[in-house]
Amino acid sequence: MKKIIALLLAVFMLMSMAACSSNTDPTETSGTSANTEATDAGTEATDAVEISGYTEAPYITELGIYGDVTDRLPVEEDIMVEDADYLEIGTYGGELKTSTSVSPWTTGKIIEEGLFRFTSEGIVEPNVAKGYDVNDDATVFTIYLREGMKWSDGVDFTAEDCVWFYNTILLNNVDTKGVRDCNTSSDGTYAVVEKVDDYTFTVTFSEPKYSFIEDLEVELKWYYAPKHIFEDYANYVIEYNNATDDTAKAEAESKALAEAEAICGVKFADVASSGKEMLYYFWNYSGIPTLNSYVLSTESGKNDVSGDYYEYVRNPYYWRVDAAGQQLPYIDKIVYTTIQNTDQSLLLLLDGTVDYQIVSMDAIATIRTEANVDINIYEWSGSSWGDVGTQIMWNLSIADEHLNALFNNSAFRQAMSICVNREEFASIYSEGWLSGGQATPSEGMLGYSEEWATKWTEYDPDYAKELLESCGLVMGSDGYYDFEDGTDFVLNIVSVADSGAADTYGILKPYYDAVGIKTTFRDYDRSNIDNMMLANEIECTLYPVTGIGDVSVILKPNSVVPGTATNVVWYGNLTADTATGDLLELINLKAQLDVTSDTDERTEIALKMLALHEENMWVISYVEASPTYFAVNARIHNFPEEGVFSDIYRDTGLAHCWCWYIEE
Amino acid sequence: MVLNKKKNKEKDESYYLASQWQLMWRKLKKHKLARISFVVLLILYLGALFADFIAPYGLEDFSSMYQNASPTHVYWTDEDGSLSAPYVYKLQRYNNKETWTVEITEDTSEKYYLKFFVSGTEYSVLGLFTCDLHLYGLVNEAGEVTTDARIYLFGADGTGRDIFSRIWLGARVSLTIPLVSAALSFILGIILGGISGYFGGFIDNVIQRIIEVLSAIPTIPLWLALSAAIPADISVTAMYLYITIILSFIGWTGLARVVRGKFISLRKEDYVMAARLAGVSNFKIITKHMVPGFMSYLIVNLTLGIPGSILGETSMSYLGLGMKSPATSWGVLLKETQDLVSVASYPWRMIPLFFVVITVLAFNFLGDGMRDAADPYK
Amino acid sequence: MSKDFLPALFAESDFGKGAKRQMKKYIGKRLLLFIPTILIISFVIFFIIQLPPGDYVTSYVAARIAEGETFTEADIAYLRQSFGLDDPWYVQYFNWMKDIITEGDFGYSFEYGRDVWDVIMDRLWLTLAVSFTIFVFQYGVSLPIGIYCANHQYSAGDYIWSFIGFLGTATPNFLLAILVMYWVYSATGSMYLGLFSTEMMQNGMRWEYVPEFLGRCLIPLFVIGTSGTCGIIRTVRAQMLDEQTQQYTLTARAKGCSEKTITYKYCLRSALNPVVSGMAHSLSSIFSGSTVSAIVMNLQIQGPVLLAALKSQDMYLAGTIVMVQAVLVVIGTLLSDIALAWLDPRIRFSERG
Repeated sequence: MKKIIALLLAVFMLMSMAACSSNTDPTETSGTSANTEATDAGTEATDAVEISGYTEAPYITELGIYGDVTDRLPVEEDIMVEDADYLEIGTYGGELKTSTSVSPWTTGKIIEEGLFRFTSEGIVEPNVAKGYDVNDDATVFTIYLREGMKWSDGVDFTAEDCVWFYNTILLNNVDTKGVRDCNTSSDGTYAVVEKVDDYTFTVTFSEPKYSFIEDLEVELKWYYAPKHIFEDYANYVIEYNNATDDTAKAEAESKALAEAEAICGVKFADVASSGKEMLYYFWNYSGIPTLNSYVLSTESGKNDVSGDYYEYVRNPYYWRVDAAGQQLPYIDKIVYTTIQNTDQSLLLLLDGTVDYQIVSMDAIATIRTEANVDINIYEWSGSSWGDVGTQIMWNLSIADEHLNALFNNSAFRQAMSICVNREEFASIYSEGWLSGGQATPSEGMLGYSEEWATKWTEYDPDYAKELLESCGLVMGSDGYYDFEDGTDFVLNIVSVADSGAADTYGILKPYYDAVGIKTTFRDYDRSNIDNMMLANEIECTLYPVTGIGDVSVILKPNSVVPGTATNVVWYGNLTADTATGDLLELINLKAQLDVTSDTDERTEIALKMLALHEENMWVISYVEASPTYFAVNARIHNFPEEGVFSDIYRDTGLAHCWCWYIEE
Repeated sequence: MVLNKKKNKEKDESYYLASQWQLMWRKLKKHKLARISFVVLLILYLGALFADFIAPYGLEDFSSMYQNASPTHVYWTDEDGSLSAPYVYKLQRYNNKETWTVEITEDTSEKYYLKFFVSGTEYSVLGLFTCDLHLYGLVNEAGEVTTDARIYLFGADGTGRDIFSRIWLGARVSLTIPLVSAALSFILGIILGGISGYFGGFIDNVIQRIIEVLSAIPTIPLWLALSAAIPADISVTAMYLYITIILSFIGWTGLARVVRGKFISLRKEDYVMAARLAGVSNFKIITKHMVPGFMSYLIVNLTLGIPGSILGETSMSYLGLGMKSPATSWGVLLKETQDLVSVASYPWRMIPLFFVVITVLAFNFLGDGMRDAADPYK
Repeated sequence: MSKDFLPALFAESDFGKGAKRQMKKYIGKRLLLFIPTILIISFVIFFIIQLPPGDYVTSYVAARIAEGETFTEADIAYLRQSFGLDDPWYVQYFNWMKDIITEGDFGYSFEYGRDVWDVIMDRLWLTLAVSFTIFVFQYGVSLPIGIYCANHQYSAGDYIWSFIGFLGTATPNFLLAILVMYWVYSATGSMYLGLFSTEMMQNGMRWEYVPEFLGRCLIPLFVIGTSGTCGIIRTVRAQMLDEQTQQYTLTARAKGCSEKTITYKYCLRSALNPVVSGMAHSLSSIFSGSTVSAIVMNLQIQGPVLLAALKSQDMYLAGTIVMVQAVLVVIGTLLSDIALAWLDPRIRFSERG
């Protein structure tokens, strides 16, 4: 439980840090000392480890086209040293073999570099930026960059790249994503980003923005783009966006597309997609410099992420070193082969064709007995509220009056929760690996309480029937409940195809039948579910499109609050204008959270939001959250034993693949 | 000798006097594999008909102790080695999170005896009345029917259901869908192919283009599109009908082409000309004179169509377009086993595959036998 | 496609001059019908593809949401507009067709972010090579078995060969594929998933990889190839048996022709009529049948791309792939009809009236 306690601590630390405007220097492990002045970056890494000199990978030396490694690293004080306790000093070389079904994020998350980054304890630490300062009312954030840091093409990375990115790309919506919420003040105005010097810039809000750094890491992460590459392109796009007559527009379009093709060699069909692909999914296009540890190959046949094979090659200008002064990453290349589904990755794991893969618990024994190579299994904590596969969400804004009344009645939700024998169900569902549970933050996460975790979990079908009758349902002659006016009550459950929900439903159905709840089930492709969701047609989902909860409500309140995202089912189409009662209060609390600075107050608000969830149980789950298991070929070293698998920590990205090394 | 000769003569006489169908039957018996296949199919269909009776457990009889249990060990002898009524032990399951293995042990404290004709879960017989009699089940030492311990002849699936039961219950779907859809596409094929080949000209061109269009479109987009057209929350029966129609809709074109080809080559035959000149109606010429002329080929196609539909159903299940759990068909069972873990660690989960293969082979051999039998010259 | 082995079987041609003219006229007529058929097919295909609810934007948004992005309704409307998906489907069809006919532009794949034609060309040759190899394999295996079984009706050989020929068909491909892959893995210690190993894709094809590549081809060839053998064996066997008792065979036999001549020169030729007319259909079923197998075995052919495109409603890509396949099948049908007319003059003459 050490990890869990650490996590709990971390959440509080995080909040305190956000509030007390500290400089997040990694050497300040206490995190509470109020450092008021700008970072003197010289103190950063060097107190922890003494590095006498810097070395590079033989791969780079053999290429013979790059100069001295010290010229490629940032100035000595600003080099980032990876010296976490679990890391061993590795050796260079080799290829990380992996497989993927095409998706822009699989290749991106593991090498993503935000201005800051989260630790597995939820603490924000410096990354691309070496630190920040914030004024007392949280309106001006000063961000310090690493001097001498370079893009993967060798050009200097400076504050200009960040300032230009915000002012040109985001404000003009060149990346089609535009200004994210993290750059918006509570009064709706956009932040002002200004350059101070080559390695310093400020972000100024009109109202206090206490959560800016965390929001930045959750929503946007990178805050930069290579100006030297995209300057002309961005101008053409802006010209295109502002053009009023057709000829000017067409001309600007062809200029922008020609420029895009010159940059990354891809013919885009329209300006919008070129902007989104090159500036949002930039790591998937060769020829675009990044700050990442690995960069998509520029060799033809190896540089198309929609092809069958492609590789990411080490960035010769990477700005991290290990504790011995070796420039990271250790492994020369990440090699991707395309597969149809993750099952195939399991097959490839066996003979060592693939080096790592997330696996389910029931497959672990098989992998161990069948594999020709040594495989290590690493267990990371999950971050969802209960097992997402057994989360049930009701559309609380369903148009049908009967159903609306029912879904909004907590007695009904309670009946649905207690009518299932959780232990038996969990055992069948998980082949005996998991226990019963509820949709609550798991142990160690903010808001966890034993009462909540066990609320409505005791199996009691008779009481469930009483509850159903208290909701105005009457037992019909067919053994199923009807509404009072005699119409049949049928709960139509939908889910995502190929999610395994059909099987889960199969196991649940007898329990529902036993208490007289008639259910149907149908699974749809994700796209159809999404469509139905927008049309408010969904009644109830099992294995929702997006599950509820993440590591921290404060970091990512969207999935637990109505009106903030289009992708959660349980509140249907409710927004601040249409919600009532506790749901409205929840929305108001979120708004309050946004403008509150005091740590204790923020925690208090977050706990209030969670208390509303605990009170209402808008979402239930039947099984505890399952950990995430990585099966990793034993030749890969430095894979962290512990971690938290969460999108905001960038999933596998938290494993810091630039620290992995290969030893057969 | 004399006796033998007489017998032969009688046989000969009966041979010449026999009707066409009697002859077919007689010849069918010559094809040994066809005969065996016929018996096999008979058993399978009887099994499907009495599936509720044969299957000791239902489709929703999950068990939290028996997931992926291997086929139950049935003991015939006591501890001291003397012969006993067959009995089994209850299983104990322990998930060892250190080694990631599941340790399954037999709880030898109590014996559960195998008993025939026990009462179990209720089922309806042809929708007429309900019955709870099952072919076999377990009773505890006190003689009461129990599901504490289970007897899984073919082992269990990942949710602790009896594979043996699921095979028979799934057979009800998997063995009948193909019959119906093959019959449907057979009728469509003969009618449209016949019209096309017999009349020729404009109508032939139209039908030919339709066939060409349909058969040129790969089946997968058709499956996807037609499945998407299936409305939500429909009953298992309705789903069943939809799958049948989808399969037959796709299956008829090949047969129609062949029938057309046959008609074209036959319609200029003298006997057809003669019939036409004699004023026999088109319908009668087709049904009485032409179709019997290539009946054998149609039978080959019909029987070939049935296993094709069985396999089509499994493919649809694989793509997630067919029956959905807990409703079971053989396609659903096969899809469930299509992963490394089942193949490598739980080989008994492949048993449904054996049933599919046997059925498909049996239909093929029976079709062969029928073809030979329908051949009027031999 | 049938040309490869037919001339070997029928070395001599007995066409008269009139017959040749007939053939030309017949082929011309069929070619004329080719274009409207393709147009109708493209229309039907487009209709079918847009039939499932939703469009590419919904699936695109859903996929991104699953990866943690968020969208507002305005974002979605903007996407739909920028993809040109706010027109009714027949307008989209018309525009698509217009571009194909006037500019040879098959549209844009949303999923791949590239021209559809580029995406297709990536895999077209491999797809054709795989399909053609399987096609040849199927007929190469089935014809001899069918002939043998007909000549040795009810012998042990008949049963054994039919059994072997049928077994591949009787086993659903998706399960057979993983079983064979697993067995091969157990025996050799290598998982042969896909036609190319990582090294081959990394370094390009080199001579030293050829043995492994051929080895990798065996599993798909076996799995997909055997799935179609059954139908051909049965048809050949049945037809051969039919022909062997026809009057002309008896006459030939009475005239003292050798059994070999009777079998190969007379019976087989007639028996091939339905076999040939089924060829286009087997091509079509290879395209379809190989999709499921290609997914399981991770073959870099078009089937899986098509399935993914259909599921995500990447309609121009799906439409074009289906159309390319359809055109190939139509050409196949045309060729098989021509072969049929050549084999069986009755069909040729019937076209005259």
